[in-house]
Amino acid sequence: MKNNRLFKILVLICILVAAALYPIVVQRGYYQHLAVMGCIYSLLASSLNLIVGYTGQLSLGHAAFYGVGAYTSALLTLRLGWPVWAGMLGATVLAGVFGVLLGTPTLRLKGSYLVIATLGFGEIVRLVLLNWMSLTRGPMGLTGITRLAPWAVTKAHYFWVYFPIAVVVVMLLNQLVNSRTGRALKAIREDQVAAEVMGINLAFYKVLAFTVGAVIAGLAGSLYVHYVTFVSPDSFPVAESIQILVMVIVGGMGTIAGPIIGAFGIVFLLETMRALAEYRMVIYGITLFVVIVLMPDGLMGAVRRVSSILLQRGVRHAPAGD
Amino acid sequence: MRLLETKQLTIRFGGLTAVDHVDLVVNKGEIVGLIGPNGSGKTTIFNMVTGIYTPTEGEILFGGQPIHGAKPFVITNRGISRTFQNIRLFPNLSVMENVLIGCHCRMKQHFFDDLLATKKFFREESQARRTAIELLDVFGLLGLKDAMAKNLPYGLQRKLEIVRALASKPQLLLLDEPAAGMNPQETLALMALIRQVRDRGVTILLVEHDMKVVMGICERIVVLNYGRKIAEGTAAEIQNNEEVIQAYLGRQAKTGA
Repeated sequence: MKNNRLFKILVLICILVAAALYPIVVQRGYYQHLAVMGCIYSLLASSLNLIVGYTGQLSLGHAAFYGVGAYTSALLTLRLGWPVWAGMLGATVLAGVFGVLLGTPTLRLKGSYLVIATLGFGEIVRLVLLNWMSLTRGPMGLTGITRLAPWAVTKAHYFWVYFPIAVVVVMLLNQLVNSRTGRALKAIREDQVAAEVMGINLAFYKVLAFTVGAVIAGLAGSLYVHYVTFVSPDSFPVAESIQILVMVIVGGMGTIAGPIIGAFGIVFLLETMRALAEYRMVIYGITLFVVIVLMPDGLMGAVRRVSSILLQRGVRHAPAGD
Repeated sequence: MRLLETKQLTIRFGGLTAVDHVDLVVNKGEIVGLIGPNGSGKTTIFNMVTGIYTPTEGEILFGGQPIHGAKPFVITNRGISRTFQNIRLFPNLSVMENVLIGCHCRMKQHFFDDLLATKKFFREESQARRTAIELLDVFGLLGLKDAMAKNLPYGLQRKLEIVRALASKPQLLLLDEPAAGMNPQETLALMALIRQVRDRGVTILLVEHDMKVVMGICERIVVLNYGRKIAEGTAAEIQNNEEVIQAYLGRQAKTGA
């Protein structure tokens, strides 16, 4: 138990050191940009994973929370002159409110009905952003958004800030899913009726999952907007929600590491395939298809299966327990 | 002392009256059996008592307090827990997690305690773990605590469901056909288990088709037919009740008809 903990801390230190060194070793700005986007998509995929992977509520509206966070942060800093950190706070709060707004009316919906409702929600948010000209400048988007900080000049600087943020958020999520709250979410995923009869307040925990997921997606939107310093409704179409969902599924639903691997993997995969020009999306589609057919539980599910087979072979007679 | 009492309990689904003005009393410390042919409303009564259905008419009192129409999680909190006719464990979670979810309503920490791993989180979590381990140990499932619930054999799944229900520290436990699909040996073990649960101070209301179980452990039996209560009494009284025999075996054919 204690060794296990020490091991985890060591792994964490290794990851942080490797991340700190990455922009120094990899000098090309382009690959640094991918790493920053990987951090942002890790937040998006991890937060959607809480809703889809842990609570079992299939949602295709995640880009809406991302968009709400991005626009809120942009407008607060641009129009009201708020400092960036306050803009981020505002973005998470408003995205959280939208989480409640989506979570509450869809409480009774299941399966495909829920998917359609969340899809509609995502479109409503995008269309409002597109048509509320006086606030958002519609399709022209908002330009000249404040950078993260005056000293944040290179992509490496952003990576050094965003990566630790992603690590902290993921650690909090990891803590959450292994607690009473997390077990309640998993119980809802497994069997709603049994969960309710075991004393779990379904309405509360479903809305909670949507809200926490939305808060993190809102944070991701804010990080995005202060990085690219430009935002338009084009960044938040349904395809974006689907992309985030694909990251969760390919990485492994209901695992902590899965969505992160999915996020970095897909960001880098899509970009390295640019050389394939028009064949890029075809190859991408085939890759996804093969991954899902071979590993229906995602990459993490496959890792788990292989490691359990190896463990059984290695220590068949070892006593059970921790 | 009356622990559970239904007064004129009725529920209608469209034109069908599934449960029709049923008065039922369960006293503290009893094992009461609820029997009747298929479709006589036994499980429907369970669903009303646990808050899954809201009765159309009538009252349900638990410890003298009305609970009809309350949400299931509120009722569990008050001290009623149940198992299901077709086992409803959390299949992809471990045995331990299943039992810990049973502890949910007895744990006092809030969302932020869980998120930030406060002292309260650690205190409540370790207490719940102690409760779960104690229960698993008593019922002989401790060795399987890390197994996935869906990988347990059928009999153990039934047992785990009872243990999970007990984790919520109920005063009243509703068992819906616990012996369904069990072989005679497993059934005997189940009967011992039910007595063991009762001896821990839990009152039991039981729906069961296996008459050996019902006659063997129930102190009092209530018989339903077409949603109505047609008889009530000890095993011997029920066995000789004319109306019960008719309900189960049908009316004797009249000569010439």
